[in-house]
Amino acid sequence: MNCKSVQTYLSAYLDGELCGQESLQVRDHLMRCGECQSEEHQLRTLKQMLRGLPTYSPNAEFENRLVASVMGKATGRPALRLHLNFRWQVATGMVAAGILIALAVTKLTERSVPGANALPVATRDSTFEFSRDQLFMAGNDPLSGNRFVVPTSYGKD
Amino acid sequence: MAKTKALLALVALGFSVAVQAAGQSEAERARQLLQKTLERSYPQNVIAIIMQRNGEANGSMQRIQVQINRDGKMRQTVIYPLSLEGVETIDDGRQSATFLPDENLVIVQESPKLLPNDAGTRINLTVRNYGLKLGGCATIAGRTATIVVATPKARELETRRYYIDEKTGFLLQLETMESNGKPKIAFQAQTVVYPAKISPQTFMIDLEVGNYQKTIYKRRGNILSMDSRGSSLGFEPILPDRLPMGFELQDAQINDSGDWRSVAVRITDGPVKGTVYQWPSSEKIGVKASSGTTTETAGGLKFVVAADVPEAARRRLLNAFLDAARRQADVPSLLGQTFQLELIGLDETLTRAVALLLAMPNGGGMPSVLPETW
Repeated sequence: MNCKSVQTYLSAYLDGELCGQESLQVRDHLMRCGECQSEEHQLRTLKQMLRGLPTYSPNAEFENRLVASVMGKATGRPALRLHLNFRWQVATGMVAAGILIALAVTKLTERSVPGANALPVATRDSTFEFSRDQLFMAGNDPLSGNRFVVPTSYGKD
Repeated sequence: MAKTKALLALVALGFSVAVQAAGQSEAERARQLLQKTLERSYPQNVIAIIMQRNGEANGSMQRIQVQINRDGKMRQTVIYPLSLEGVETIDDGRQSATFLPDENLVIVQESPKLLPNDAGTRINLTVRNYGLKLGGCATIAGRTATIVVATPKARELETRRYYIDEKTGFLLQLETMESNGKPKIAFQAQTVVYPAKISPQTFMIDLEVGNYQKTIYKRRGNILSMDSRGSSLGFEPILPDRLPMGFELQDAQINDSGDWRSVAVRITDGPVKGTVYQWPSSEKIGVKASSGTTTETAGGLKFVVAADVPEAARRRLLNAFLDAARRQADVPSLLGQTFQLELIGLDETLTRAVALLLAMPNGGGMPSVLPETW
């Protein structure tokens, strides 16, 4: 196993979700690789911290309210049902099959555009630049409420 | 009887002095604690999971894992919400790289740690613009936090409560008090550990990892130290002489990219830092509105104020820039004339009068509109 595959399996390894052989392979690699050990240590710390977070449970009334709400919706508006005879069922099926075939043919004969398989790239504009600068400033301000600012706006205006 | 009265007066005086001294020492302790937080380097490594209000209009919370070492190097990774999970910023003290997996992009810019340490300036402004006191203790994320309450002198600003781990100076929680008196949490640590060691690899930036498109920005230029900032920028940035609510100009930098050439004016009143962005309004460029920004156009420039203060306060800050922009647009050649006259030693009133005359189309007569401050 190389570093890339070990790091893919690390989370499952720590959660005890790997089969015996995979688990042994990961453990074997970890004993030899400092970088993956460091990664494993960080992930373990993170998981421990997350386990320490408080859990929230809904109040006692929640289930009753949810069921009542769903039942109310279900009984409030009856579902629309079409009763078709056999001929109409065959015709509808054929039309649907025809649409599917047409879509498949269109897809297969589509010309490949150069660069179409490239990974998506964010569009950059002033909002992007604005987020970048806010990130820069927040990193320099230990008293800020947005100290660990995360850029969230990368779309066009 | 007279002796008793004198004795009582003496006791009252002594009590009053003692109370005042206690108040002063409390304010001083609050100041020292705030300063400890403002200092850049931590005496210990920190790994924390924090919840933070985002800057968007919906005000939802984000959960972020933060790792900071003794040198101030930092790595932050978003855990929640799912739409931002895995977004990561690593700051190695020299440069800062933000990896955006969904956009397949890494942004590289200079580390904010390269900026001059402004802790001294900010603490002085805090003492000038806010009343500081201690607000008791609380337990945040299993740590004992001392609460520093900063009450602003300006009514538009909010009282801020800082929950600080006294041993390390790490800010565990920040609350702002809304106008109805309810505290609003801006930032809260959920778990905090101070490990003896964090692997140096944690703070190493590897730009070759993955298949990211790299966007590398050159270092920002400081325009306050430039002689001919207008000519190099293509427009004259607005730097008002005075700002309201005790805010002061700190710095002004050029954000220079192919897409957006703007000036970022950094301002602070001590606890709060803000930025006023400005660029020519003729360039049809907008910035998506978010909850922490206020926007307006004047004197051929577009302004965006971004600061973690209420809208009314941002509006006042913005107005100072708008007024200055209008004045500059009204009297385009005035600044140069005034500087020249001041150099030859004319007194201020005479300088202004002569400068106004020089600014007239025919060199005389009363102007139809006088700038507001004159």
